[in-house]
Amino acid sequence: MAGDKDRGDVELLSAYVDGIAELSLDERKRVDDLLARDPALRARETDTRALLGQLRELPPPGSEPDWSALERGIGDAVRELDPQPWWSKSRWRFIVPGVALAMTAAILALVLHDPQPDLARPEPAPITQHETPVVDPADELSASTPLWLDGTDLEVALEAAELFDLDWDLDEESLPETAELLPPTDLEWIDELDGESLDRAEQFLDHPRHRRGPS
Amino acid sequence: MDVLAARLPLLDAAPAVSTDPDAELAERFRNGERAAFDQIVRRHQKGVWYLVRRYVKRDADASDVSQQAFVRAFKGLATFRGTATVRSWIYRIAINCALSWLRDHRREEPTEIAEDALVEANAAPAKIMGGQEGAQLRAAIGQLPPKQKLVLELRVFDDLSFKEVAELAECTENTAKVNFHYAVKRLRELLAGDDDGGR
Repeated sequence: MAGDKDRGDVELLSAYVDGIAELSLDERKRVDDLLARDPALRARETDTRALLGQLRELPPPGSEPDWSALERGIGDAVRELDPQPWWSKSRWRFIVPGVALAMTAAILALVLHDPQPDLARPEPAPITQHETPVVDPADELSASTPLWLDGTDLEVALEAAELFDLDWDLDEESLPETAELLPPTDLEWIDELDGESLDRAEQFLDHPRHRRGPS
Repeated sequence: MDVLAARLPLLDAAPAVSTDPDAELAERFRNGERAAFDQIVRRHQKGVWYLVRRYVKRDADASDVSQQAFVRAFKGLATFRGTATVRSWIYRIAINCALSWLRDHRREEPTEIAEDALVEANAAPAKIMGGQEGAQLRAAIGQLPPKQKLVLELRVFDDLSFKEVAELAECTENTAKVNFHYAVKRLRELLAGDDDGGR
């Protein structure tokens, strides 16, 4: 058992000679004890030290390369792998800013210099002054006219409805099934009116003078 | 007892590899500082080149393989976790690249004799031990079992700590120390002409 232990300690002899600091305190103490007891081992320690010295004096293999050239070669090889963004690489370094500058200038020119801005906007629909039919002051039909303008539910005078009904002199079969009180073609101009025109038309029609007619 | 006394000042010495001097550079690289990698290259290119040069037998090939190793290191450094030192990690990559290169170029490799001739031709005269002695040493190293050879070379020629040697040789630190001991012992036997088979 003691022999095995000694053998293990002897196996540390070269490491002890070459780098005592790399042995633990316990390992150092064991080798020291062994060296103190065994003169043959002390002789081997001396031989080992001499041999390691000889090995370290061996010239390195080959002839030294040009270290700066090697460093440059490594630098060049690594630069190709450099994870820098594509736009910062040499061939794009001038193209990308140029294109970006040109695009910015073009956008600014479009925004700041609009030669005929009115051409792009649709003309407001002309306000057409529709002739208000001259009606008998006694006739209450004109009072229901706003019904067609804003679509709100208004109370329609019964007389007016009767009047419409009476005015149609076409028979039932000649009328299309979708026929309404007024032919739709007569009302298409209303769809073309904008809000302002409708307001003005309503004001016009609501005015007592037009509503009631000349008194 | 006097042996112990002679070693006492060293007992307080800090462990050889308490911190990784390259850890800060690796961290700076991970934070996007490209120049940190250049510094790592500058610090380790010589070591990597000589390490690779022991595997491949031409200087130009050693340069190519070294470059390849650093490119791989560049790709992997962002995910390097720091369980080993940066140096031993790069050396591991370099060894893998060298072994891979050897597999791909097996037929083109010069013989060991050619390598020795090259070494002698290029050696600096001031540092040389006797040419024959050096050749004998190299030949003896070449006869070591692969693991012992690896451990001995990493320790003696690359000046790695036993911890780093263990990381590269994929063994425990204690196993690295033991392998180192048997490599030295076997070398001594080979140089003494006692070629009876090592441990």
